[in-house]
Amino acid sequence: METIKLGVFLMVVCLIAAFGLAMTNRVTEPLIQEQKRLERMEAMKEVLPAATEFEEVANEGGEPAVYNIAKDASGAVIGYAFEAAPKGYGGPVVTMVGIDTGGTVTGIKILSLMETPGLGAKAVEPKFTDQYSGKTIEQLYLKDKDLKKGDIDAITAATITSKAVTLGVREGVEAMQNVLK
Amino acid sequence: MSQAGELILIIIGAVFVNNFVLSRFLGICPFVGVSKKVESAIGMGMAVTFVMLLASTASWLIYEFILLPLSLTYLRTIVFILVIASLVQFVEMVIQKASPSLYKSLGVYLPLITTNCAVLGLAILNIDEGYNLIQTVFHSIGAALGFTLAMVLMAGIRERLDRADVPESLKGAPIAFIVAGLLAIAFMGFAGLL
Amino acid sequence: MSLNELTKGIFKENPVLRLMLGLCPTLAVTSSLENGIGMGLATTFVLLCSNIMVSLVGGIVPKKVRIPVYIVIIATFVTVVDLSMAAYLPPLHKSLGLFIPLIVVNCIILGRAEAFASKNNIGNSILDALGMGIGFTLALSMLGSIREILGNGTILGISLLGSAYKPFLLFVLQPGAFLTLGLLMAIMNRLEKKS
Repeated sequence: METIKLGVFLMVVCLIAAFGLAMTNRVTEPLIQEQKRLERMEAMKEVLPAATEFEEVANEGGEPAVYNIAKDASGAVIGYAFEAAPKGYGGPVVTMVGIDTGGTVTGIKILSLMETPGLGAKAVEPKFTDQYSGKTIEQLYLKDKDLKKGDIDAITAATITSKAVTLGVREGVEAMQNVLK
Repeated sequence: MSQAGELILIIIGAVFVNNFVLSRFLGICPFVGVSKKVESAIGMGMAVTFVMLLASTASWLIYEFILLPLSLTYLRTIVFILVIASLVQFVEMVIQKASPSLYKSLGVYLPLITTNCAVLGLAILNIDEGYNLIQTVFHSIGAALGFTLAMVLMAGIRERLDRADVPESLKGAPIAFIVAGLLAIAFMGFAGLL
Repeated sequence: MSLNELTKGIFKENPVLRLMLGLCPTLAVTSSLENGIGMGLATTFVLLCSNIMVSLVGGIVPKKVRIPVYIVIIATFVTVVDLSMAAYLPPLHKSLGLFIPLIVVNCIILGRAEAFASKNNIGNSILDALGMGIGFTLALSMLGSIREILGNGTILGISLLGSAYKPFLLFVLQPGAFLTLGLLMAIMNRLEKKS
């Protein structure tokens, strides 16, 4: 009998807590979603600077699940933007990738990562990400540490992170090309 | 990458490359508190392994099949910690019955597994890294092994330090941390493995 | 209400350097001063709310379920902090990452709830929380500053030692955290012995 009383007390406490959190969530969720949307917008503009408009497309059951068609002021399609999230050293490295209509990378931007500060975390620096601009699929391999010789310089002592980003971008571009066929 | 190959990599990753204690900084309190004797380190390691496996599997299932479909993901911290707390209570009872000597030697550190950031951290990481159920199980095995490994290594070293001549101000915690730092440097060498 | 309840958490009973509580975040988020301060303040906020709440309901909670109840209370405030930081302070939320929800298992908070707040009035519980929180933040800030200056040459992101200084990378990495904390504790021991 006593166990049941204790259990009920605990349940009541949990329900009060859950209620309080539901209220908090009501307030914060729209803000969090908006942050994410703005971040995505900014990242897309960075990787495809010539675009003035983005149209989101849901790719049912395919890779990537969602991508954006980038259009310029006249409405012509100038490229595509999508997110890749390859597994890095400490977790997924969420990357925004922009490609032009020919499949060449226009730029990438790292949105989030859980890599080692001072090493893998340096992936966000332009010194690393700028390398991807203007590369085609054949060039999207690391210069030294990949089976196929490519054009990307890995970050010193951060091969895992460098490999992950390169792989993510390359596979993403390949997937996009399949979608566009 | 074959499924099996990927799973092995997850374990190796969690034990060596991204050791929960020496790389992710999870489970430091018991790491410093229970690592004085190899025997208690092993005992604690086993208890934590058991809790980690059960807790992360239960948490994953609850998240996938209850929290996610009902859009209640913001409740995950509360739910996960409650799951862990209940499992620890359960494990306490089991150990008390099965091995009273182990129960005594672990003492207050057994209920403290609840506040072991490694257990909750593991549950959250499984979700954040997007693992499916099998990957979650293997990740948990790796995490527990890595934790136990770090503790046993530490205990082995500290048992010897006890007989060595340590300067007064360094005795106890300070020297333990310095040793941990050296262990961390050693484990950084594994970063090139994968 | 005694002022001692406030000051004890800062030096004599500093949760990190003397009581050895809350070590995981201490090591993990102190690679920069900003992260250290951010975590310290977030934890202090949860500590304050939880101490107040536990002090208020301490009387009516049945002894046998008190720990789970405290845990739920703490977890609730932690989730509030988690969601608020995600909404209002996204960069800090990203840097602190996994360790924000892990505030719930920061032994300092549960420890103070059980050892102090459940048995004392609100006034003293508030002071206790503030003292411990400030002590925690101070310890994190010390560690964060040392690691950021030596390991990155900056403080709060501002370059301090100029470009000629080659950062001693080890300090912002894992081993650096352990070594710095160990040395800090040794120094504290030395100072205590002398006084």
